Amino acid sequence: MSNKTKILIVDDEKNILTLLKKTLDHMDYDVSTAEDGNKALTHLQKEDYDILFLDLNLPDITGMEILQRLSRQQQKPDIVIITAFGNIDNAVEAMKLGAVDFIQKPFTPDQIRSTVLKLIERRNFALNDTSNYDQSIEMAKKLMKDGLYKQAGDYAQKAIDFMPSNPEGYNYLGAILEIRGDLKNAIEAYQTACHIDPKYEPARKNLESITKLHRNRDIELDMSKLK
Amino acid sequence: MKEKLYIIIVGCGRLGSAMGNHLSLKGHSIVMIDLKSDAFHKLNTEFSGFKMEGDATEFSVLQQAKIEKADILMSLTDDDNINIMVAQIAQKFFGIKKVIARIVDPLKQTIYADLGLDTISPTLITQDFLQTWITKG
Repeated sequence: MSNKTKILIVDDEKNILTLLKKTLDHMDYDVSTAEDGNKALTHLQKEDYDILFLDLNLPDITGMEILQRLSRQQQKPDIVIITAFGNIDNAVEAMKLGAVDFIQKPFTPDQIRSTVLKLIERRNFALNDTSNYDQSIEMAKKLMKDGLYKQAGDYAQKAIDFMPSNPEGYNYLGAILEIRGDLKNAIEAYQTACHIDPKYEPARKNLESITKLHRNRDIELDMSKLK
Repeated sequence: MKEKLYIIIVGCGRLGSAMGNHLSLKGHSIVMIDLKSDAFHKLNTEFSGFKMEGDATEFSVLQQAKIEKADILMSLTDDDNINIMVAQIAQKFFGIKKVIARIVDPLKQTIYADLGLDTISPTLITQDFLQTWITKG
């Protein structure tokens, strides 16, 4: 069986399919294409893909609906949203549903290549899984730096599981949740950090400002501990 | 010059679409802009660039086409005034180095040359060709 990275591209515009396929074929990946939502779902049922490029404006089933269906699955590809010219509003919504990245039209082959390489690198990184608190928190920081907040949250949670008595893990989880717009759970995470150690400054400050009306500020991350 | 260029073509008529098809096949990144989406039917099935429906004299349309990344902009609509306006915006405002405007009326060409813009006039090219053809006997 081939162990090539499997990529599915879903877009109703033939020129976009051609551009993506041409670019990715050159990189020696196993690339499939679908020009509507139904064909995309058939592909996704038959195969386990590593990466899915998904246009949100499809003629039959919307890309958002496909995302919703995929979000219920345990094993799902890394999803990259293809957004319209000058429009990232939907992409933000899609990221909340679990998409990991987006590319805005018009894009170049270089952009596609670097997006795919970044995702593969992160996947390989995830294979060498973390086995203690420090590794998990380090991974959360790296993923946050790459803007991969959902995955960063998973690792922050893992760090907490390794060392539930350390407020730093909860503070990170809170920060990630806050960035993702989940304020209720972010407050809960900050509160837990403060409860563990009332003197832990970053969490105290984050909790203070998240509950204020004007939240125009930087999130405290205690970056001094970055390796 | 870079091997693969980012090229914006304004106007997907006979000339614009032919250039778009040719340059896309050569592997360059192409963004075609036209007022009407119908115009894009002239692009062939091998075309792998982007098709944007919009008025290229509007800054926001050029920004959505990511003009700041463009190596070349060609304004090839059938309207001299639009071509010259788009070319001027691209050159003066966005600082695109290689810009060309199609000018049908040869009388206007000298004015635009004075503005420091590159132009191409199908009328003059045809005229040159015909003059050479006549003298060949």
